[in-house]
Amino acid sequence: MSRSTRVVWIVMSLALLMLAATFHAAAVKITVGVGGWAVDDLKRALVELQFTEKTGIEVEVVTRPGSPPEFLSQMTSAFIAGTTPYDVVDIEDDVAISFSRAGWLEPLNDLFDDEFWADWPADMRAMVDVWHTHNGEIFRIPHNFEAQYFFYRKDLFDAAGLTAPRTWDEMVTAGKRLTTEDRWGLTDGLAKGAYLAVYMGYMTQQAGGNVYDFDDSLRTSLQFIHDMMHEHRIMPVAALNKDYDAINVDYMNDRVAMMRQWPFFYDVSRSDPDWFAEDKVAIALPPAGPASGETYAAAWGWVIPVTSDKKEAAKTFVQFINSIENAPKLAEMSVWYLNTRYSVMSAMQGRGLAGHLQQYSQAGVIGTRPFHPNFLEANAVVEDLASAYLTNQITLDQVIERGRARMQTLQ
Amino acid sequence: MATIKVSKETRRWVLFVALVAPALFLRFITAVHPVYKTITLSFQEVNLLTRVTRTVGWRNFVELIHDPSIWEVMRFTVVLVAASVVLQLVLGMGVATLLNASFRGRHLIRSINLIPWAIPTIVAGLAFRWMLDDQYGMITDIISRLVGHRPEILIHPGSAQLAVILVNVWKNTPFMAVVLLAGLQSVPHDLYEAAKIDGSTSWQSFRYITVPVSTPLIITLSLFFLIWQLANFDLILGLTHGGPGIATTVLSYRLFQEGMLWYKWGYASALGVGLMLVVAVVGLLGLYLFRRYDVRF
Repeated sequence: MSRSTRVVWIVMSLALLMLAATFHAAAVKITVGVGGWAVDDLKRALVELQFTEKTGIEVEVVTRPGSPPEFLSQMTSAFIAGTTPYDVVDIEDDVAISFSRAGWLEPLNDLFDDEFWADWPADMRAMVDVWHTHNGEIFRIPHNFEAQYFFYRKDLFDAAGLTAPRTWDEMVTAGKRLTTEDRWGLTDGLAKGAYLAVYMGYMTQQAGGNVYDFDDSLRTSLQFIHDMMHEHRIMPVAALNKDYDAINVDYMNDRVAMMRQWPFFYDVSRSDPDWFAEDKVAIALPPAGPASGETYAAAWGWVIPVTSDKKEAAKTFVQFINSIENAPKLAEMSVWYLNTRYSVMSAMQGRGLAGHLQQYSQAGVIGTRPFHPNFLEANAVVEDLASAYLTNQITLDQVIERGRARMQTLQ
Repeated sequence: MATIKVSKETRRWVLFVALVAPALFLRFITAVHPVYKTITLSFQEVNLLTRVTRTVGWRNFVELIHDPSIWEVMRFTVVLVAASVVLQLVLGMGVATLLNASFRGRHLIRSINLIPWAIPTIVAGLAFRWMLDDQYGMITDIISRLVGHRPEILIHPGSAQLAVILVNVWKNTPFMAVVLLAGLQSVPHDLYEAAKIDGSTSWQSFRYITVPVSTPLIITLSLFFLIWQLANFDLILGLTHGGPGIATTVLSYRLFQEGMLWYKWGYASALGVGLMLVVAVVGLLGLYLFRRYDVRF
């Protein structure tokens, strides 16, 4: 073999080796599960942030089941079988509680340093401590911070010479003024199936307690809601059969003057340009109850199943997507990644919904979501009893008595 | 070389076992084992999420009996199933009789009749939830035009229970009617002709010919529907989520909650055993009553 032939062979071998190495590096591919509504945004974000180019990790973004029961069934079967359909998955509060208590989520404490956590304001850190940590281990990194907002028809309030209510009493007064034959002063999505429990948690927090304690604060909030429905008649009893889509339709058909709603209504209301006007979808701080004017935020966040066989790549993804550098860019791309982290708020500069989130955060009204380790079942107890009371099937005393008894069995 | 003599009887037994064993095995793993497992689990505390598994004796059953809500749930379960089956039988027989008549386009009408049954139950539940909405519902709108009052049907316990029963009847009557129609078509026509010659009216022919001849089918259908509807919960899930309060919660829905939402398999199994007993009692009672009814003819 001549010398030139040997050189050609060596060069070709080296080229092949480099090619193989490149393929090997790019061959790490993780599957990331998100809700159907977030798939396109995440795919676009990963391309724009050049995730694969920067990390050498390919990502397949897939849709996870949207409803918690369906998702719980899917993941429980997978965990028991020692597998997982996702290496990283975006999960909500109620699912996170179940999975973390079962020990099915990878601890993420080591992924982030003090500099990272310094970017988090007190309200988000409080949420992380309660909802994202178990036995001292952080198992989920939230990418959003969804406060419940108080939406009201400023146009109607102005016409009636009213200002946004600051207390429960003012809300009743405004409700009475604005309730007509075709319009309710106030509504909410109170159907069973996690809607009613959310509202009860929100109102009971404003009354000074945790809804799952079945104490006087729940008594106060239930009595108040009952009065709004049956005595003041400013809130429809039919709200007990409405979900969020239904109350959005009510609001946008001019049948409601005020409602509490999650942030997604901000975009929904703007989807009908013929109806939309800024003063039809004004946002005020929550009317304060006897104890506080707090709302609370829920969150979705990234977790890594312990059964993933690509944990290191999955951790790289979680680090990348939540980094101080990338989190603001994601928030600018989609409100799904909006939160109160300093870097995010700074980048958003009060634009759109971020302005309202900042207002709520700075006013200190975003409390921590009421917690119960047996969250799903505890919610069902609250909903069974609250629904029965609000439809006059049982008394307030029976609610408290039966609630305490049932909660005791959940300990 | 010695040969083993196998008698003809033995060969027949071997063949019998070879033919029957697969079916027996299939039944064992699909019916006997699940029932056995459910009974076993009902004496345990099993929670996948908390990873707790331990034998607790009769505790699940004791909790079940002392749960005040369970008797309310049981009461509506019985009311729903009994009222539904009776109404479905009566209306199904009426529809079947109409569909059995000779008229133009009856094949088309028979197909149209099946539409409610062909709609998935969960979809029907969600659709009726909207149709019964107090503000936008088509049904509430019709009622308000008729009586001048817009009812909040799914909000009040009594009307919500009635709505669940009626939607269930609407959904399942077509299937009942089609099966009864098949039964009616098998009634020998000369029986009706003989009755007509004897001066029998249409009602008398129906009463003394159609019903007695169809009784075995009615028994089978009733038992089938009783058992099937005791285990059904998808309509409740779509229409009311068991509310208001627990006014429209049925045993199978509670079982779904305990087992599939909260992963309390032990308690859910105890409920399952309870449901199985209810099915057995109702089934036996139904069979007994229908047999007595059958004897009278």
